[in-house]
Amino acid sequence: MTANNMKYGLIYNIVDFNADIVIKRRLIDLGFRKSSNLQLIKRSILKANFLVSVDGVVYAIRKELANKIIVKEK
Amino acid sequence: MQTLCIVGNANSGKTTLFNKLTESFEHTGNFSGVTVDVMEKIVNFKNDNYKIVDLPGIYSLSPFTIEEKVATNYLLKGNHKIINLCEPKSLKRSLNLTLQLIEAGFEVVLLINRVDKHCVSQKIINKIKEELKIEVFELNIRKEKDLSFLFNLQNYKLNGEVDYINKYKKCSNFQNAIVPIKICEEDDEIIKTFNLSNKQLEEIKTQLNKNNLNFETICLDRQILIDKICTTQSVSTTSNKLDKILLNKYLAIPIFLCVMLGIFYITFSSLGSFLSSVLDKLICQDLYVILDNALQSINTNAIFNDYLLTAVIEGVGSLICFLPQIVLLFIFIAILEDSGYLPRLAFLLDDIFKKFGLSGKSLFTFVMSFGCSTSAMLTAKNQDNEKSKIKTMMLAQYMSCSAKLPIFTVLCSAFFTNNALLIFCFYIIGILVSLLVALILQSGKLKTTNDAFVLEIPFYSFPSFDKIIKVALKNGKEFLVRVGGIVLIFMSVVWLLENFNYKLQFVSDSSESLLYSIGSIIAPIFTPLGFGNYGVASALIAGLVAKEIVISTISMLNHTMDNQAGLITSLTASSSLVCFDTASALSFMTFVLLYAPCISSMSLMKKEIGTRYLLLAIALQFAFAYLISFFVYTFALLLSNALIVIILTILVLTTFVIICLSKGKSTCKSCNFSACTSCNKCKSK
Repeated sequence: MTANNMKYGLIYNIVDFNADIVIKRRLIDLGFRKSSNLQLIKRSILKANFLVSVDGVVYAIRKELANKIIVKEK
Repeated sequence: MQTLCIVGNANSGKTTLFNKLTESFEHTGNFSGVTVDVMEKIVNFKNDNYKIVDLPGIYSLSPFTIEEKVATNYLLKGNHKIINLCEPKSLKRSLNLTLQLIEAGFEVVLLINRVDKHCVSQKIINKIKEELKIEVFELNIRKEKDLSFLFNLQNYKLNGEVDYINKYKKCSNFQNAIVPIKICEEDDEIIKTFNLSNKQLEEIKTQLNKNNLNFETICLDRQILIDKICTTQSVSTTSNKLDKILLNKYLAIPIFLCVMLGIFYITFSSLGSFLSSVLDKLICQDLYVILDNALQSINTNAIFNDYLLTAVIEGVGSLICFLPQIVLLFIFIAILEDSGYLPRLAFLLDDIFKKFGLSGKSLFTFVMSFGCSTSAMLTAKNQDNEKSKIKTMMLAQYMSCSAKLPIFTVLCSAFFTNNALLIFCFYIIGILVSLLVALILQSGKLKTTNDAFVLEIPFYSFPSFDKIIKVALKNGKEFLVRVGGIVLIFMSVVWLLENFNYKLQFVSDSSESLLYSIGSIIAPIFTPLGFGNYGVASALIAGLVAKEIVISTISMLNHTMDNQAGLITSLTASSSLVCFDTASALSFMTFVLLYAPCISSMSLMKKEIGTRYLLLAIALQFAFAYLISFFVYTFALLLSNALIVIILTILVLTTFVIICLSKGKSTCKSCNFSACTSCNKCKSK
């Protein structure tokens, strides 16, 4: 499943990225590394972006980018 | 001279450290992307000169945004000593950058900042020292008094050593591992900066392939080492609790509107208005009489007297009483920036901004434009790409900056009640027009999607009292310098034009003056908007230099005896040279809100976005200003209530925005990606 489908209250592990090398590199630099813990904190009003926590750091990301992060429930 | 570069992730406290080391007051804030350019300052410590360099925040040596490219290019050009700042809450991410600095062969000292908020155990610090073989210091930069150890870095071990680097280093003849590692990471832009020949590049690639080294291995090597040093941290619960209220789907927008209305109420109606009237009474009202009496007693030249009383006292003095309101506005902006609420607003509004081809990051530029759009435009460099930067810079001009504040305050006081609400509505009009312009730009060459938008959300923090005082003093001083400098110069020019004819003879009848000749040519353009008068036309032209000059020119032309009450009364009197009625006042305020950037904004835009986009920006601004002012004037002639006219304008603009939005949907329905070029269904189309 992708990070787009994450549910509140559950912790997920990042498994892989379905993205080109530039986006992949960017995500890894920001701390979205394989096996990192990912958690959904908040969806925006129109549900087009999310607040997620990666190893304790909170980011706002768009659903298009979340679609590129493959996760599995921990 | 030694160069000390301050490097770290965004919002790790780099500029705060730079300010401490150099005793400066550069702009700081509790969100990523505040510093967008390289800042250098030379300081002397114990007879030695040091160049301190503050760089925009980076997450690695593979830049993604414009300001990250600026920082990385600077770093890779020289052999600097690095002060690497990191935060305990994002230690893993920070160490990823530290490792890359060591890989590139930089001399590094690691500072762990904000240790009072999130402590780092001694065990982790020892682990960092042991694994990276560099010096680590814990501190809280805001409170730290003695940072002199940073000028004695030669006493510490700065050349980090990490085991995995050697296997990459062996694949090339370079002294450090950055080239083979960047080849593994397929970062072509950075590889280009090393000017490698094709032969060299192929040789390194062959060696890397031989040793099975690639993107996956370098990521894994770094990850294993970082996981060895520290474990996952938890999220601040206080921030989470506050987010539950402030980002609640039903409460978020009402809370945001209440915050903005509160700021406007305090700035324009209650405290701001009170302080302004006190200053007006204390300084302005009596100054004119005292100076007039003094000049008469010493029998000076009549022309000189007129210049001093009209250009200097009436023109410039009329602006000074707005000082408290301008300072208050900057204080509120600083509080918003420091609290951590702005990035959350950016997250909330990204939903909406996305539909206009913008990202939530544009919000930082827009909010700062309420203070000064020229300095705010620089923050547009935090955008992910050049097109977004150009668009954000062009749109920032529609936000009402503090220089327009005196115009709104004076005209609202003269013609309307409920000033704060009306001024708030003008700010909304500015925002709505900027969204319309964004849609126009999105349909042309500046189309962007920003789908890779990522924004770090910091923890909430209390704005420091010390910073607020400094912001108030700095902006108050800048306003006075501006008034005493550029405003005074241009008021002198306007005075000359008003009092002399083309034969350079002093004229007592203003209809014989040069200003009348010039203003009369332009004035008919504004007749359909209700203010086709040569005085207003001249004020608008003078306002192209700086918007503050608009009100100074009107004050000087109306001979208002240098006080706000006099100026307000003169605007309603039909005998005055510059006068309005309710409809033309509304139309004039709308025109001033939108019509053109000031000269300093224009020169910055020319430098950053080029002449072509600057001309496009000016043309769009003038066209929208004219059309909307005409609309407002026509409605105001039909309806007597100003608030209803403005609310009607807002509703019409909102309808236009919604219609344009519904026509411009371009998201790929099969892959849900706005900039889809790769999905099979889209390709087949």
